[in-house]
Amino acid sequence: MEQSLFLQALIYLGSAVLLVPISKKLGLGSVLGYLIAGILIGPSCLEWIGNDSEDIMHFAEFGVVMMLFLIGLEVEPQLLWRWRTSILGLGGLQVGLTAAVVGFIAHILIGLSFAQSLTIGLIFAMSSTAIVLQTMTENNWMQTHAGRNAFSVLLFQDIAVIPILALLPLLSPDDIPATAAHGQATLTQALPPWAGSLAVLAAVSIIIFGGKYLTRPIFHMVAATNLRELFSATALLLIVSITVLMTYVGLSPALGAFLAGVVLANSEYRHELESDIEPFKGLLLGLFFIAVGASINFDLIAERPVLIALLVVGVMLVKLGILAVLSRLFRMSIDQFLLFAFALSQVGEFAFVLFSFAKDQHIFNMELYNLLMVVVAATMALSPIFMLVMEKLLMPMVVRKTPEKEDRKEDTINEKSEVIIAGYGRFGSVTGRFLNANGIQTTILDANSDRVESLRKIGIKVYYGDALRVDLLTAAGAAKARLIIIALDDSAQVLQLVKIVKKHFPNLHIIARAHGLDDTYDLMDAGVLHVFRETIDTSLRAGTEALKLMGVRAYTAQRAYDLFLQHDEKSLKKMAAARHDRKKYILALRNRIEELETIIQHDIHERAIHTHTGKDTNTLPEDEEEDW
Amino acid sequence: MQGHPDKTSDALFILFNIKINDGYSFTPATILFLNRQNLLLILYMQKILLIVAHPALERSKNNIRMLKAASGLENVVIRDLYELYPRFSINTRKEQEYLEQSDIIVLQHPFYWYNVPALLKQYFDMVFTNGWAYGSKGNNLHGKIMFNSFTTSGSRESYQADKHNRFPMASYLIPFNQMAHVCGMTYLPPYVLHDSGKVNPAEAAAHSKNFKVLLQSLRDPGRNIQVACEMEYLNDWIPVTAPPQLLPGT
Repeated sequence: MEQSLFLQALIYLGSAVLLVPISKKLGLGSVLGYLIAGILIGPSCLEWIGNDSEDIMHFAEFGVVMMLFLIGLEVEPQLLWRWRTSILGLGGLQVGLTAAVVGFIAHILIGLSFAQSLTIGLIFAMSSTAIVLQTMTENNWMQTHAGRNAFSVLLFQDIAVIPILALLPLLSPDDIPATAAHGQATLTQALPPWAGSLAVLAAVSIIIFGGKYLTRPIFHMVAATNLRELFSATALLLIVSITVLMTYVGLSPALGAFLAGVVLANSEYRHELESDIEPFKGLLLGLFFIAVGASINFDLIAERPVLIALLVVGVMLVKLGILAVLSRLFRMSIDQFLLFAFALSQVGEFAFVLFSFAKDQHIFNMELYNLLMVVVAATMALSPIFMLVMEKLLMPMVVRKTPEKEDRKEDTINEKSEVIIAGYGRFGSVTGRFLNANGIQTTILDANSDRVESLRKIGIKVYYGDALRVDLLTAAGAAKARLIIIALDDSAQVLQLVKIVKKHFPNLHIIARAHGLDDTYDLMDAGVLHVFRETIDTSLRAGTEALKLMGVRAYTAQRAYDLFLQHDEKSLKKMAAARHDRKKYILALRNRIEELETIIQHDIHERAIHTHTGKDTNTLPEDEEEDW
Repeated sequence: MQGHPDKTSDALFILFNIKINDGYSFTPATILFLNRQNLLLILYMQKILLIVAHPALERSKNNIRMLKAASGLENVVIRDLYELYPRFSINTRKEQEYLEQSDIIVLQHPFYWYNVPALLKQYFDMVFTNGWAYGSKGNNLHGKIMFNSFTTSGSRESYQADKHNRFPMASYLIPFNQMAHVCGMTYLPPYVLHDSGKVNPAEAAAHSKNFKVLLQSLRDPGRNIQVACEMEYLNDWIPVTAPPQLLPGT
């Protein structure tokens, strides 16, 4: 179908805007939403976009490049060095083992040629940076063990693309000279191999030194113009330049962008860059997934469903298996392993690039190539579903299983303390230590196995388990205890636990941790009398210290703190009451802010601070001696 | 205080004159009549601990002036309670150490409701503990001197039986007096700025200057505290120019 650019944009954007919110609402995640959108509008369904999805994908790969740049911005160079064992070790083993096993199956069991098997093995070892990172960031799993390990593996895979690209022409059955991926000419084509490596080094050095020394003056100059769009343009220019440079030299642009990000991670323009690139990245990534969905050749699937199904499941299982072995080797706990293995079990988008390159090298014929592409796309499409299954089905089983394994631990919750603490992170641990120091025994429950292990090593009696389970709470003595302190990190879980406690253990006093205003209101609505907002005390104390450093006397500053806190609590109650009427709420919020600020500055507050200093401040003029 | 020595003391003076510094002198004979405290007072420079308690010091010109007059003096240590302990969480041991190192304790404060501001009361409660300040083992304050130095808006005359404040000033100071006594301390009359809201600059300056002189007088060797004890106010005692009494009671 001949379509204008705008019509195409309409179709792509429309499908995204329609389907992704639905998919998120259903808990399926954004990636699946984009994929479904792509399938829907693609040649297999509504046929609104044609077979130019490959070009779209190529264009949208830019989104992956940007994503890696943004990730690089977050990674400090020292961190990279620290992770070198997992990057090289875990990553290297993953690629190596997967390639070996898959290659073996392909060569021995299926009977493909050595070149083909090796190629397929190496390419199937790749995982999808886009899917993995997108899913992990969405669910806040990046900070976990699993998240970091997955990232290391992905990083290694990115690096591995280079030698693979170099290897493929060598595996070619004929003497066609090497052309780079996407048919672009590389500089290194014309050069002998040693010069090629030199060019690679030169390119990497340009990125590193250019990033360190060139970017600052350029950014500074652009920033001085105060034109926001110019900075966006510069950021995009940066990424595009890197992409061009990398493709010229035959390297993966995503790797180059990542390197550039790492170099700029400590730059003062980092946040500006982040905020400028982020929207582009998001959009392009979405486009990319749509294109992947559209590229799934359902005709082929219809032709040979069983074969494809077998291949898809087979590939993912093999990858899962190898990842399982590796996670044992690298000592990851079961819940972390599940996250890690399932996240990486798909075959990544680099496979599209690499397979098409391999096809150009005549390693595969058209038929095999199409089959492989479908398999890859199918694994990518299935990956979010796999993750969902893992999250909703397998994870809860594991979390339940381990307490059974550590039966001894659960049984020995013999000491029925009067205080139960759910969640022993930053908040719960301090409260717990404080209580213990004052002679009050506590029973501590925490669901993070890594944390439980390390705390027990220090000698703190923490029990592993999901505090949201009634049977665990009962075992912990909730029926006889006096008070439960709910200090879980996740605010939704805090609310859930409150409801559970109110239902099953109504005599327990509840002290609940609140993350922000929203869950404060929710907790108040749920009937919790003692809600503790995480940051209010500390930030006010910091403010009090700031007052002192600005020359205010200590006691005056302390009084200001007390008054502010009182007002804050009062207005919080008012706002909670008004919350459900939006207009009233906004009014109350505005009043609160105004009140607090004017009160601070107004004499009333001054007098309130020092009401006990004896003077009848109403009858005396301002400048008279304030002195008793 | 400025009385003329009689002939006997003259003779004794001439006979056994011992000069110490700046023309202040006494005879060995007087040693017989002085207790150990006054002896030490005469021989060595005393260490003064000035405890300041004002919840809004920044707004009290009078108290600030007095503090300024006192700061920088040798052997005078100042503890600003409302600045040190805005949360009333007094560090008992630390304050006791400061007290142990001092000879004279001056309490500087505004006269809130005929009493000291809350934090100073907290100070007494938390620092003058059983076993340290009083009790069978509590002798750490023995032999020291203490008095209140404060500002009040009332006039001196109003502190009489038939006037506004109905009782003499000394009555209001009985708790401090008794506290000092129980802890083995000598309690001196107060140093007071009356009519604090109405003082003119000259009076205020004079009060602060005299405060400095007072502290110096108490600190430097050669002073006779006995006389001071019999005054109604320390304001009346400040030896501006005259040398101290040679013999107590003269």
